[in-house]
Amino acid sequence: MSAARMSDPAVRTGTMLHDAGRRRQFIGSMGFVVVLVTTTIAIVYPFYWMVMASFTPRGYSMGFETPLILPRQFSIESWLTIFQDRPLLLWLGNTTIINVTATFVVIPVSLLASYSLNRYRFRGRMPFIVFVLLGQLLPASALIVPLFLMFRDAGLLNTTGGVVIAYITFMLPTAIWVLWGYMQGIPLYFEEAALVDGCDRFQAFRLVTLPLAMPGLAATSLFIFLDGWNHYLLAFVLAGSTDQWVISLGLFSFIGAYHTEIEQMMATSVVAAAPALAVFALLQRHLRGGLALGGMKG
Amino acid sequence: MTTSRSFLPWLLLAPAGLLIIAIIYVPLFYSTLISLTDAHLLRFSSAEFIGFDNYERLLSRNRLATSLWRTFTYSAGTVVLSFLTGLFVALLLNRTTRFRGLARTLLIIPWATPWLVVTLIWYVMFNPQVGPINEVLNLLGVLEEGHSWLYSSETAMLSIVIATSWRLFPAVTLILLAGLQGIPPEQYEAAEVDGASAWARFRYITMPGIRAVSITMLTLLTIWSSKLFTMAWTLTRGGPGDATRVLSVYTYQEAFGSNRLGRGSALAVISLLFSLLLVFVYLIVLRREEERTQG
Repeated sequence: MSAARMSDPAVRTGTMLHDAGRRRQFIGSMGFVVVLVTTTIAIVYPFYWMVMASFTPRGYSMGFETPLILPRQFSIESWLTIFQDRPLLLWLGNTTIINVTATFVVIPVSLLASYSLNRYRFRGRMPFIVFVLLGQLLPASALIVPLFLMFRDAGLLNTTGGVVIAYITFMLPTAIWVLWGYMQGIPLYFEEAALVDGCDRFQAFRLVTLPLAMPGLAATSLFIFLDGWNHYLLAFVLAGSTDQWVISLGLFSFIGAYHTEIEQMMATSVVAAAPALAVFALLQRHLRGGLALGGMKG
Repeated sequence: MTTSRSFLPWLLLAPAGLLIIAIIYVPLFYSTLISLTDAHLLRFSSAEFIGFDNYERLLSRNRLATSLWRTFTYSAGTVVLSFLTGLFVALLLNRTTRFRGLARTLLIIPWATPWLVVTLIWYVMFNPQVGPINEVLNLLGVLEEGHSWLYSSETAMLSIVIATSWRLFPAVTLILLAGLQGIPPEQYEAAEVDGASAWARFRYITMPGIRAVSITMLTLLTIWSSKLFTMAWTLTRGGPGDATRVLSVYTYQEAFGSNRLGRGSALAVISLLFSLLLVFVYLIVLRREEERTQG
């Protein structure tokens, strides 16, 4: 409404009729800016608050001293505590080992599958695609009971290997889907030309298709790796003992404790979010199509 | 494209196929079997076949109906809120090129944040003592006392819907924005020359232009939000009471909270059928769309 007041003088002096139009435009663009700023705050503020709260002294964000914009006192106490008193490095280490191993298995396996789906037409191709897609659409909660029992019988419960196997399988459908999209973008005639020039199929794949698929593979690997950060329920049920914990379980342990350490919780959250944010920021340009859709699922 | 009768394509698919069968489809089958028994976590070996008893019990109680309703509310709320917000922001960004680069970067923030971190952030946002939301409402004079958003049955569902949508809407924005930019500007120019109102332009140019991608978006949002576990579990543990006990949480609670694996598995099968129903609807919509664009 300040917009209306600011353009009032122009109206009072009664200059021109077209001022009304200009005023409407001005109010329009002011409104636009207001909406834009509000939206930006809604997007960024919760995240900003997390970072800020991690730098307030212990217990300071509790009670009546809730800082809204800036901490009244600055402290790195929580940061020191999470690295010293909490097994944060262990959680990060476990998460990294599990996700890296899973990614290294998922990428070749899904590359072969997406190559096959892309380059060959054969009976059973469509059913296989449906089979993979359905696999992705199944809720993890529908599978944890039998997985828990199977892993218990196989002695895989509370082992890193067990979690890795589960992660691999839950990552696979997404990886196949995303890579398939990339493969479709690689023209077939490159490979055909190589075949004409005397390469065999494997050489054509290795020398022509693989290098062309590299950016897609890199993006998919990073994406899959980070997606592993989100497989919370699987880790929750399959890796119960604390020394197997991944970062998401560590984070969860902050909630519902007798006394929630807000500042430490926020500092740990920053640590957990940092790698994902860094990678997504770098990958920004590639976040289209299948990759963009894949990034949404929980 | 090669039409192949050889076993090569299947050989290439084998590793992926076997893993998916072993870790997704075998458990699925196993789950169905367990759901017909009275399996209990602590005395699993003495489980006995009891037919459809678990299903009968579940269906005869209100809990399942309530849980299905909660799942529906959560999913519908999330889909509507994240889609509308996403569309709104996409339309805003489509009007200007000035902030687009910056906005894209900012939108990455919620999107790239791991789900569990999102829940913790909102756990604090909604906190009655610490939460900035209460603080701001207090400053604005809307709210006198701290309201515990997550622990009151009236606002718990709304809270988790907001938190979930915060994580989901940026992807909607980015995908719809790409769709919006695919609409030829000449169409708008022509409409403007013809004196079409802003609403008419939106209704007859913008909406058809992003129709296909919106339908895909909406269905995928529905499928994903209906199976989310993390939010409802971490923020409210399905509570207070059963206010946020969505199907995935209910399944977990039956199986591992009450140790009733049989009944938990029955719930798993039910939630599976629920997902299949959604997928089925999606496929029908997709086929219709294809016929529409081809016809």
